[in-house]
Amino acid sequence: MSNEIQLKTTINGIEYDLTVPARLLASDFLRDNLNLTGTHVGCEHGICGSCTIKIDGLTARSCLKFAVQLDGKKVETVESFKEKPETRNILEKFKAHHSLQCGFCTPGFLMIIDELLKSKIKFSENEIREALSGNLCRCTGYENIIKAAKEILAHKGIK
Amino acid sequence: MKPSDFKYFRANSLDHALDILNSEENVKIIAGGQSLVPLMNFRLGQPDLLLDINDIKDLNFESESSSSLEIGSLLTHTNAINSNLIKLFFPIISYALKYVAHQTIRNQGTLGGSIVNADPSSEWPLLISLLNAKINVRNKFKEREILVNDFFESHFVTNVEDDEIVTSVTLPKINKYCWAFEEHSSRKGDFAIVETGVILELEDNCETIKNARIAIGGVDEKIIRLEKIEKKFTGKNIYEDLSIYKKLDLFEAINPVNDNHGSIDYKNYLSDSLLKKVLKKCVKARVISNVK
Repeated sequence: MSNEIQLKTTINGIEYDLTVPARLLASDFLRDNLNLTGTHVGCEHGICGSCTIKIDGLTARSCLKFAVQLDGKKVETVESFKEKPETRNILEKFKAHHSLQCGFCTPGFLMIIDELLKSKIKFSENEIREALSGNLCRCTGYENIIKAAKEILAHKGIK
Repeated sequence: MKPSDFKYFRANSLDHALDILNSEENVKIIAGGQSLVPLMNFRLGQPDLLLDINDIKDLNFESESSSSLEIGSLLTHTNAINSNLIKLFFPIISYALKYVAHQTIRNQGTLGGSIVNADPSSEWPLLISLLNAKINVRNKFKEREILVNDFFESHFVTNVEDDEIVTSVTLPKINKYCWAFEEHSSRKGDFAIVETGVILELEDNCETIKNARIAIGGVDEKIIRLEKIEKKFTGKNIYEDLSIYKKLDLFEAINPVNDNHGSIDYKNYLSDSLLKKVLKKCVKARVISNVK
């Protein structure tokens, strides 16, 4: 029981073993301690979705997790997207549909779309809109993001 | 927007967690953290010790007996939505939990966390109220069972003591019933302004109401059961027009406040129209029968 906790975690396939303050948010840990600045910090209370990462395969707001809670977990951040063909495809579709301007919200959208892609069920256009409604974008407008998402998910079949 | 300093401990057994709750001061339990961490980030909550219970396997289960389902407090909303056992006996849970925030939040948020947070516009509190749940809690020395009527005390206040952990919730099975749930919020995923659920327990003919249960949330300091209306529905046929209840029986039971989501008048109007909507939907719904 301490204010400083030892943490062993795997992030984008790399193992880390560090001691961090208990109060350190996972989002700050990724950005400040590991220099993985692709995870963006917007509202810091779970509303905007910009800091979305994956913990053991499920999306999570990294501003609502403490770094110490990543102990023993497998974490994926947006930096992992360029490594694998299926996630690289998500990036390419975003580029093709001009689904970003400033790019601040983009990492969160990419994470949630990847989660939809890996789930077993098919989605209707409304369900895609609904799934993306947990992430806020303030400049691109959502239409191009939805266009990209629809194309990314198209090979699963749209309901 | 950063939490204040605290000590952290992750318990891997319930006994260990209860020992800590018994010996330490100003401890906060963290499960999904989807309501707690925002409060800590705003420094509205400043625990000295954060007790992480996520590794306690005994709190993450679903089990069925002849008369009830028991759900461990660590079950996430996503896992509850996907649970075949829950879908079979209480499809209202799978349906209503889709209204909880967004998928990313549902992946992390838990049953236990939601009910001890006791937000009167949340879905789980309404569901356990409607399902006449029993909440099982434990401290270092004993277990006790709290009836849902005694569980919620006010906004964010429950009957659970500081040294206790909610271990599970028991949901008594219902023999023959139909159900409906609706809520209204400004945007998809926001907290409900008003939410309402109904369960009509039916006689063997699947038409006569044996027992009605109606719960409404967002319009008082806790979830309200509309007992007056429930009682008057007993013995009625579900094909009668149930929407002709006495409005005063509704308005006298609830106590909405003026806030940035709407005026008292608006919330009264919304309560009435949502209640009519769920009643209509309920009688058209498929009757669930658990007799095997």
